Amino acid sequence: MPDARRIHAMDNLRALAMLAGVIFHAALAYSPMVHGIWPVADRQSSNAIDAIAWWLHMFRMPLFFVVAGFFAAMLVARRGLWNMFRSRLRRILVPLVVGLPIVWSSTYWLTVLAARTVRYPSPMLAWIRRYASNHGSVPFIPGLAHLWFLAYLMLFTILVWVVSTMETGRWHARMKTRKASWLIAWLLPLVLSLALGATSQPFPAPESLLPQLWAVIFFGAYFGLGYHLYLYRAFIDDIKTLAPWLFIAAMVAYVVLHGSWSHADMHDDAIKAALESCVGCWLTLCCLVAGWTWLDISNRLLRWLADASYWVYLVHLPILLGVQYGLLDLEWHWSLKLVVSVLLTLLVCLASYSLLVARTGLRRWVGGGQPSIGKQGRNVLSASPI
Amino acid sequence: MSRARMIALLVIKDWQVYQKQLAGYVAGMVLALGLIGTGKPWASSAGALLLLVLQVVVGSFAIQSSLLTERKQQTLAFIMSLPVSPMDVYWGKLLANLAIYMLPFSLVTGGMVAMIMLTAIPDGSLVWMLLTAMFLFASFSASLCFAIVVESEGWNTFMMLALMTLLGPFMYLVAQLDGIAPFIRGDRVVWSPAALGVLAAECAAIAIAIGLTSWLQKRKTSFL
Amino acid sequence: MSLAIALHGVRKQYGEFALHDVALTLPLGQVMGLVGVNGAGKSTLMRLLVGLVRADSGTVDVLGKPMPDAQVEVKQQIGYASDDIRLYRGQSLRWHMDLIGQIYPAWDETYAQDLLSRFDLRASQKLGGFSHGQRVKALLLLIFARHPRLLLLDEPTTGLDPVARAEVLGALADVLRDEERSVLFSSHNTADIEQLADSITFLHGGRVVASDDRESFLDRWRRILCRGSIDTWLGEDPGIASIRESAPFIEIKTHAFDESFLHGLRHRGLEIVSVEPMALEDIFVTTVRRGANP
Repeated sequence: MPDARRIHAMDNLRALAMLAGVIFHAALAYSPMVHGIWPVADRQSSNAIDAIAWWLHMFRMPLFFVVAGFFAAMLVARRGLWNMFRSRLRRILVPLVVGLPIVWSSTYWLTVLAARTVRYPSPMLAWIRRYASNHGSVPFIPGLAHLWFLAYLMLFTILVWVVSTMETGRWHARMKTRKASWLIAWLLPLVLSLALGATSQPFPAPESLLPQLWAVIFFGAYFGLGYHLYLYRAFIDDIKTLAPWLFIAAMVAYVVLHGSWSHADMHDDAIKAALESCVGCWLTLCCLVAGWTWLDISNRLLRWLADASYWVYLVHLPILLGVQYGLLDLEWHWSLKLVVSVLLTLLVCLASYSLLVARTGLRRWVGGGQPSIGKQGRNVLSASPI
Repeated sequence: MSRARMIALLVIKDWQVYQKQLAGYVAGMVLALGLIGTGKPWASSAGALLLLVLQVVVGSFAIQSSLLTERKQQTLAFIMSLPVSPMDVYWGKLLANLAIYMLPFSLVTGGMVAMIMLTAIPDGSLVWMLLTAMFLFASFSASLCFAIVVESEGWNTFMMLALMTLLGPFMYLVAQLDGIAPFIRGDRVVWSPAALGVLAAECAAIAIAIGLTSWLQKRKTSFL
Repeated sequence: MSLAIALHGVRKQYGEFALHDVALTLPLGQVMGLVGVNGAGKSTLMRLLVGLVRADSGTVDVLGKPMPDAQVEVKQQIGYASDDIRLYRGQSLRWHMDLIGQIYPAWDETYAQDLLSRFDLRASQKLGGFSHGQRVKALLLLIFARHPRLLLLDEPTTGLDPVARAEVLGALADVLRDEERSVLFSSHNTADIEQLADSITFLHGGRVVASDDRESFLDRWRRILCRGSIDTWLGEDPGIASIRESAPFIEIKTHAFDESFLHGLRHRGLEIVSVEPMALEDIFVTTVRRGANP
């Protein structure tokens, strides 16, 4: 019998991962690394923000996929595979299909407006402006944008079914030991580095409409780790004593990795991929341990924020772009611009959640919560979105 | 239990019985799409080929296992002993097979449409691609109906192979048609009378195959 | 009296084989044994009753409804087990139980669990790993646990080892205690039929050669040993099924035994040495021989 307890640690970790996403995307405007290709890149940039933003990037989506895998396993345990599938169709596929045209049109419209009005355009915006004046219109390149994670979640949902038909129970039982947990902690980066070796550095968002094999393996491994964690909660206890060492190792690896990005002469991609994998994997594990140790708490505000985080992440990017296009011409310090853009974006996102989602029918699609035990019911509102 | 619910139950039953193999195909398709997604020429063409092969194999696998093997292993007798009419079983089989085929088929075709419309591939090739996809679907429907009516495994294998062999000539001949050839490399999607004619013929073939099979099925006097 | 089964003038041509003008009735609550050699038409008869085959002519009524037209309604209330029904090898018995449970509102999970332990079956095991005996028991479990009003069992004990056979017959005997339930079961093992059936039908070459209730069958048939000489009249007596001379005795088998029959024999100068009841198997063989060489 699965236990019916709401696992606050996972709710809170999910909320933090999504918040980290908003901060990361806001910080990109001041990152020297993507200055040439980010449409809202500011005139000012900072190496410090670069280091922090890309450090966040190493583990925020991995952590997110671990949480998603955890909740997928919870849904399967509590409501069965079929209902998990139905819930995923409603809460992932529908937001993807509905959200994508909205994201496309809003970002396109914002970019057209910015290309016309901004006085100090980013290199990318300047290029778009030139393109528009030569060709008569701003180019439109369809992709999954920041909603790529929904497409991959849907894919992993299908893969959960694929794996479930293979009757892996006996094989999986052998992974439920302390020794296996240690092996996972130390060896998972090896698997991940094979995936990361097949893409650029630091790993990009797989926004293409076709699934990217490296991303399927990379994020799929984290999703699988989350699934395993639900079935074997002792995993966290198993690796607890390792966590400080993993954290130190990850930080050392990140320092080396970040250094290698800024030195164009370092070309050994295999080593970089390995370093990147270690940083991401170990920091993700540390986040899990920290979350289960310190964040298994809840009150009304935290629960409200956790429930809102899915909606916030879904809608934040067009809003952030709008805010940052607006900030481009201002003479403020980059740090002030960063704080303002993050706060303003969060404010709009949370207000829209409160007005449009929290107390309306939209909650069924993009609200928060964890799956309740029991028979499927049309009125079950509390199904985790990810 | 209503008739529709019974048929739905039969469809779900088939899905459960063959889901392990189907899962294998789905995994294969993810791999194929992933290979195409790498953008490297060799991997993309390997992926595209894998996709086509899987699509064709899914069709013949579905027919082979859900109809021919069911007869051979005598599980059909078990199903027929349940409160179902032979027509319920027939519709259940037809719908289960169509669903099993349509799932990957719609994914692949939808993916191809998206790829043609959203990438540098000339939009004009959409018509030709869709006609080819419809040919695949029509030949699947014909094989399926044939397998429902004709019990002989030999004839069924012959039918499937014969229809698959026609795919190549069909693709070639359609690409030569006056109403299609001039637009294939163009940027406009043109549904010329010739293209619409081919499409209508394909739809008619599907309708005739299903209609004829339903009629023959109603006249059967022995249902094992 | 309402009938579970009523066949009138049923004909069915099946390649070389044919059922000829079969007429048969089974009252509700009765158990009928169907005896016949391989190829006698038992399975075809069963298939006609389940609606798997449509008769060329004649009428087939099951539980008061015409078959195969009312088969959906009728099959809701009948359980059909036959040697040529196979379950799905790749699926567990539990999966089959769930499927049947979804289809039949009368599915009785408690009884199913009881049968599981009685038949010594594991629900989680896949059918592919079952022995023949286990497969038969699994099929019967799926049928018994939905409490059908009419059971059609085609050779249910064929190929079973003695232990499995005893288990199946034991469970069947329990099922038969329900007086509302009608059963038609075929076998070429006459001992099973003698044990369970209220009435018995012999089928041979696609025809019903005899059909009566068990008691009158056994009462009417006798093996009589006499001393004397065979006269021509003996062969013409319609009550005599077979005559065999094994000197110094004459063995007469009759299906019309009573005191007057013995009196008639004595009257014609035969000395009665012994009168013995006959086993069903003997009755069957004698009937079939007589039917084959009238």
